[in-house]
Amino acid sequence: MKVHEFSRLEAKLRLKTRNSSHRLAWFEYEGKVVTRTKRSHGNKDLPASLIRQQLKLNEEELSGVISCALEFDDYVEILRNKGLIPRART
Amino acid sequence: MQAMTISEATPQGMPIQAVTSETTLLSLVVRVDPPAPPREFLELLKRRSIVEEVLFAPNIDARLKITKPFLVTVKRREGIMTAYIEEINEFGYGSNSAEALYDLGRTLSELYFSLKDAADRLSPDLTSVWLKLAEHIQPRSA
Repeated sequence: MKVHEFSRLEAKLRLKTRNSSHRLAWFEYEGKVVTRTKRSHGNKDLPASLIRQQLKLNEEELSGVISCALEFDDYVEILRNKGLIPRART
Repeated sequence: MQAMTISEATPQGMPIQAVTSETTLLSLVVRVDPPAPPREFLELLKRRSIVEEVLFAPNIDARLKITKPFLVTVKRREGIMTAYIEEINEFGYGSNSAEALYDLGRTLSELYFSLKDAADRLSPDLTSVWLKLAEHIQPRSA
């Protein structure tokens, strides 16, 4: 994974970010921190499979986010389906 | 496979580069006189996936102490050397295993303080990570 693809993940998934020793990124939903990941500063290639695991995405889903086929709402639904976000009560 | 141990006793808290079978094999290839091995063979050796397990407990931060070592898998993935702790789904990476382990140490320190600060608003999944992390890492007493 390239750094610009990580930046796309940040934007598409509306990850919150903070620069520290690393660039830390995390997904919050309804006030809860649900997933987190990070990358080093600089332009080194990133281990996509490990970032994907931290964001709870499979390969297809990760490709979908990077290619803009998946949006924020799709990510929320993915996390709901995995039981990481509670379903809204009706 | 016996895991190498990295502890605070390791100089500078940095891991000692392990001599792996990859190192040995690459050295052998370099010493071979003509005829040189086919280029494809050298490329295959470079890309071989060497998996190494390490017990990891170096000094990662002056404020923290690893009281129970992490089991770390050091492995090349997608051409990048990675150091991965399955138990807490955390990783470090770099161009070699020493860099990956050093990066992992810094990551653990950041993760500890990030999760601690957000402890009251973590999802159940991240709460589980925080609890496991706190089993391994304790603040140093003043």
